[in-house]
Amino acid sequence: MVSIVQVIGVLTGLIFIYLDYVKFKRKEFSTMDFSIWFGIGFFIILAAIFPHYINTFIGKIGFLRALDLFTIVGFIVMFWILFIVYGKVKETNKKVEEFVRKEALEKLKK
Amino acid sequence: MKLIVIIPAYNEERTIGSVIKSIPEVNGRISKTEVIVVDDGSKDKTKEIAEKNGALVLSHRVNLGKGAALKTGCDAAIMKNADIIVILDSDGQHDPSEIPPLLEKLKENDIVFSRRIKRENMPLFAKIGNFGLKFFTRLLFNVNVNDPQSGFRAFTKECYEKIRWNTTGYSVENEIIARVGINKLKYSEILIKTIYKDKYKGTTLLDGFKILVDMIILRLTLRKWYQ
Repeated sequence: MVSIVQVIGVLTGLIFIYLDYVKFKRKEFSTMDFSIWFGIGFFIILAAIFPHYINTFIGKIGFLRALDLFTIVGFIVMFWILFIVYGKVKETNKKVEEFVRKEALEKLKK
Repeated sequence: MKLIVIIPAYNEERTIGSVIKSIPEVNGRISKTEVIVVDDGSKDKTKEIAEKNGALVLSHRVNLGKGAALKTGCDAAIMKNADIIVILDSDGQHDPSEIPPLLEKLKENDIVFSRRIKRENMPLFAKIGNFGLKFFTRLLFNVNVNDPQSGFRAFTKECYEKIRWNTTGYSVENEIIARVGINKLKYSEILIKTIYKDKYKGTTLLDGFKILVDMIILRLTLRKWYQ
């Protein structure tokens, strides 16, 4: 018997992978970005289709409930995303600064 | 020798004209004086007023911060073959008539800092912030500058090549001091009068904390320091 939660889980995972693929094809994501987000999407689908395997795994690594595991994993993923976004913001700021300063100095060359 | 005065400006239409007008023609070893205003993304008439008063205006399309504006101005000064660069604020808190004593002191130094003397008029937060930043500047960079946040300075083109900074914001004053320390440059300071025109402009308490954090990061990351 397939539950509604499982269907939502599979659809979420598929949408996740689809968006990841679109961003990869538009060259907005590197191969590394694509692989990592694909892995996360694939894990969501697996967890939705085979929840009992997840429960067995959770028991083995010492978590009492699936929610505990998801909370910990959620924090790890959140910090990882924060790290990436921070790096990107710094990189973008530097590019903007270089561009704006270069544009201002162009006046001297005319 | 060619002197170029750099004035970074952000929304300073009220004061920029009078600041440019009061820059004196310096005699002696200075044969030519030019003024460059770096309009750091102002939304008012700063650019138009600066141009009307005879300054060369370089414009940042967006606001990048004081450090970036100063760097654009100093890079432009080098491109225009400046021998000496003077930097001062556009809000009228520095008196350009004090440029000659600054240049006089520069004869024996690579860079000359300024120290504000009218302490009784200084806002309380500025007093506390300046004391803390002065203490940490000595502790972290071993440079004895009494007013690290005073932005009225003069330096030679050779000095600029050694102190060229990366900071885009208000921490630029401290990065300059740090680079003076690591390059063991000759420095001195002169007393200047200061007029506080607008207590809501300039460095805020939050900027002060950010500057302190930036100073600690600088101390840890400037590799030449350890050589």
